[in-house]
Amino acid sequence: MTNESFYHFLGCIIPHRYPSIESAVKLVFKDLGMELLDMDGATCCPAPGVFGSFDRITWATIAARNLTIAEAGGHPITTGCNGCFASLWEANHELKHDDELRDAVNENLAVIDREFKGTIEVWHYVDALIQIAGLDRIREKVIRPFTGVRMALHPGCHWMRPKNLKKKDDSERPHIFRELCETSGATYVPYKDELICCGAGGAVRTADVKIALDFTRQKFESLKAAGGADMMITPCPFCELQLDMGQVEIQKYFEKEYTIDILHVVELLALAFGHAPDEFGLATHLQYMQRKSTPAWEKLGIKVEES
Amino acid sequence: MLEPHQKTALKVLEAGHAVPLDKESWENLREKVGLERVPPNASRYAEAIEDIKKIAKKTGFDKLVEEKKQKEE
Repeated sequence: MTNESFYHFLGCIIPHRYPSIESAVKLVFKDLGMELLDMDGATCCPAPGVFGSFDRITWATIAARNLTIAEAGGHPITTGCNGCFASLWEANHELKHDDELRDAVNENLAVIDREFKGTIEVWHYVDALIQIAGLDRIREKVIRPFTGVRMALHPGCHWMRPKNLKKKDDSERPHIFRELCETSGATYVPYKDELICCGAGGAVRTADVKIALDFTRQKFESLKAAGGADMMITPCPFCELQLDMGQVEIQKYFEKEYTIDILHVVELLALAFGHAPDEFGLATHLQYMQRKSTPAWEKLGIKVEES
Repeated sequence: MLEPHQKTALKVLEAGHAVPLDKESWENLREKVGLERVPPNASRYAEAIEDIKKIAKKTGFDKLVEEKKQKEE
């Protein structure tokens, strides 16, 4: 039985727009014997596209403030957002290796009586699941396999990229996220544009939602050309928002209809571990709220009682 | 700085989050999925927002966000 505690960095989109992810990860981590601790007073990571682009020192200082919360408690951080992972992991890495940046940041943190010490690590949920729980332990917990369900993946950008920095998996031919998702029993569906950006991050969606949706549309078309899938899995809530609510927006801006269920990897695992969808609120995704629809239960192989 | 980016930055300075818990409906959604209505982040702890404001003042980021607005006016 694994025994590891993490400060749970929620970010913005998970707690404030897709709380089903927060609910699901609590179930999954508990099932696997990993503890999630509240990270009281954490703020925006801050948004790497906007803050990282305009002012590196401010970006690093706000990120470092979050890191110091975990340093004070002596536990690593885990987050389920690729964007938050980018800010926190990269700030942590840079501050540990760049004395000039560290001095500048600590001068700023001094005004709020904090100091970055470089004593903790930042883990994405995916890293914690694979390296702490382990794939074997995860497979043991799967009691409702997604047998026969076609599963496309959207790994997103920041978990494994940039390659020279993150040094994990192969950003050109990745397999780690696939292996994690395949523990669910679902059938992996490769498609040409699996590795392209969803369109949301890097401050693109903020700048121009139609440009962002063009990326999303390209991804959906690529999947369609590959024969389609019953669901798409992602490790990032911003990607989930873009791919999920993006279907409604694509219909509005481009008059093109796509209908596919988008799940965060921890939502996939929660279902595979036997939890009912309403234990964590799968049907509260914004796509369903706006379309007044539900997940395609039959395609997902999930029996739900009519309410 | 594009205005939408400036607005996102301002959101962080005002609420501590780029995508804040800014409507009761989002709190209702949290309750619906079995979570406490307000998460233990800056949405709950106002002092965290004060920290962000102090940092922005120290680094001059608050001025960076303001200047563009003045130039556009």
